[in-house]
Amino acid sequence: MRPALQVEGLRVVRGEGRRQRTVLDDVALTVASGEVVLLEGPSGSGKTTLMLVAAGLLTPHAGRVAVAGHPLSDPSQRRSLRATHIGFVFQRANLLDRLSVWENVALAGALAGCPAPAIGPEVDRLLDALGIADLAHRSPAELSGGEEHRVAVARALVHRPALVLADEPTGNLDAVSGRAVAATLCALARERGAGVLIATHDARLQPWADRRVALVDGVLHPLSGSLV
Amino acid sequence: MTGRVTASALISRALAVGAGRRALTAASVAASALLSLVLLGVERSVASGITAYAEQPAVDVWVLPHGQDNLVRLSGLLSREQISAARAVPGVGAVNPILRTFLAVHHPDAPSGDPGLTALALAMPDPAGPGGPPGWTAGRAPAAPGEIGLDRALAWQLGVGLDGVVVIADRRMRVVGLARDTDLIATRFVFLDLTVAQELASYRGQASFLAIDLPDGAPPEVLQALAAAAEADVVDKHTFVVGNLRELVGGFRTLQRAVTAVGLLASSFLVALLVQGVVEQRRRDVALLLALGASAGPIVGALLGETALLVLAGVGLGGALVGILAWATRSFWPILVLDPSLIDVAGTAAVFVPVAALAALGPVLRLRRVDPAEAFRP
Repeated sequence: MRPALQVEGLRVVRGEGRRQRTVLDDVALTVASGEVVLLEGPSGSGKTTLMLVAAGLLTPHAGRVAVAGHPLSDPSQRRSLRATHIGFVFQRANLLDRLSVWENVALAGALAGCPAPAIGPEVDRLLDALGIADLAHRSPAELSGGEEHRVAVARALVHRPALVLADEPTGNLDAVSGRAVAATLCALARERGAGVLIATHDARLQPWADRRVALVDGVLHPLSGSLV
Repeated sequence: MTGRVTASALISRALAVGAGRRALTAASVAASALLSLVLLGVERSVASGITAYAEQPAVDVWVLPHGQDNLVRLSGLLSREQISAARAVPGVGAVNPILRTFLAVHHPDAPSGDPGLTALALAMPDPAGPGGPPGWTAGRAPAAPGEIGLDRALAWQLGVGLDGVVVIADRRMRVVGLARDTDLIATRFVFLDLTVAQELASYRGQASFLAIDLPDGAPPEVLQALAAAAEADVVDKHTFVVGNLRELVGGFRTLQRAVTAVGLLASSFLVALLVQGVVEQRRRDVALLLALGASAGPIVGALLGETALLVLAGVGLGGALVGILAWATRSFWPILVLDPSLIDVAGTAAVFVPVAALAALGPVLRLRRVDPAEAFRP
């Protein structure tokens, strides 16, 4: 089975001339389908840069990135690969405030090209699984932070992506909400066979991870303690 | 839950402009469109009035002094002999001499020395027949020397109504009819008996032009004989309409186009400002959509589509307002007659929508600067 994410020999350089610095240096990482990997590291270590490269939003200077076996080297394919194979959970929930909760989730399915009749039941199923079915018609402005993030999790999974990229998904949440969001994200992703890469500072997420890696000065290090 | 779950529909909803801004923009476009539609409506009313007059069925051709093709800026007179010669041409039926002159019309209670209002008088042997006004809003055509018909605008300005009295050159005349399809944009009109007008204007036996009936059609030899006998120009209805429209609405049309251009410019700036605001305010949403895999096409389409709909709504609102205004002016302020038309509304929309979309294109193209990676920023 093809891994959800495969990164090899990744190198990203930022800045020019004397200000040039290597943000990612020969990074290699594989996230298997159904696997949850925590990407740790201090601020400025390159976590978000790695997420952007994995999302096809930043072109590396060297290296190879593939999502579900599809290389991201072709810029013309990146957008459609992002829509169909990748789900996103951001630090801010980033919900569209003119759409209802239900529509926010359905949007990702529609962008992925899922057939319209299939989107509705899938949205309903996910909202139900996340315990927010009763919020379907609400506007994002009416939700709490935890509720917003659960909607974001539903949006990340509705199109059954191969890979979920979560950038500090609990960064804006209190401990209880953070744990709930992390738990449901990891459980639902595993259930659907999606690989999950979570960039985080939050040690509370460790219980839900299969594996941990850390970026230090642009170099990726495995962390001890496979947790499952 | 059901609903439209196509990506473009959801993107359109996600980027929709707020109700307040939407209403303000549509109202601004409506104001610009209204300005243009009012002028078009006035032009149309003047044109339809003059066309109805020039194309009246009882007249086949018009005969005017050499070099003339309209009654608006007509100069010269046809003599009694010219009129008689026209009548004598074989194939010519009724010949109705019409005198066109300016007369000062006064309210009967006006103080001495009051200049009154100068009106364009059209006088004919039978104001109910050929060469008379195309129709009456109220009352009937003058049938006696002491009777006169006014257009509604003049009556309103003088403060007289049907059965009222006006004074022309110290002669009191009873108002028996209010003419249709004329207003102050054309000019002020009075319609009266030919002999009275000839006497008032000291043009005895003379006429400005002739309304001619040709019972057997208009064979070229009859027209040539008529022109030769009357020593005048024979003008068909179409030429007469074109000549009158040229003189009446030619300058007005230039003004109308200039005002429309200014209105169009103003509403386009407003639309561009609106879109600019949306692009700046919704930058994060756009970044999110791009990050989630939306292509630029539906995003640009959503913004331009919204722009087009707003402009359409604005022009539609302007069309509705001009309809209300037309009713109001006809009912309460008849010096301005509007003849609004759906064709004008459609034409205005056909000009406003693409121009506004073009104006919105600049701000929309700024979307190219939105980096989807902005969605990752906390």
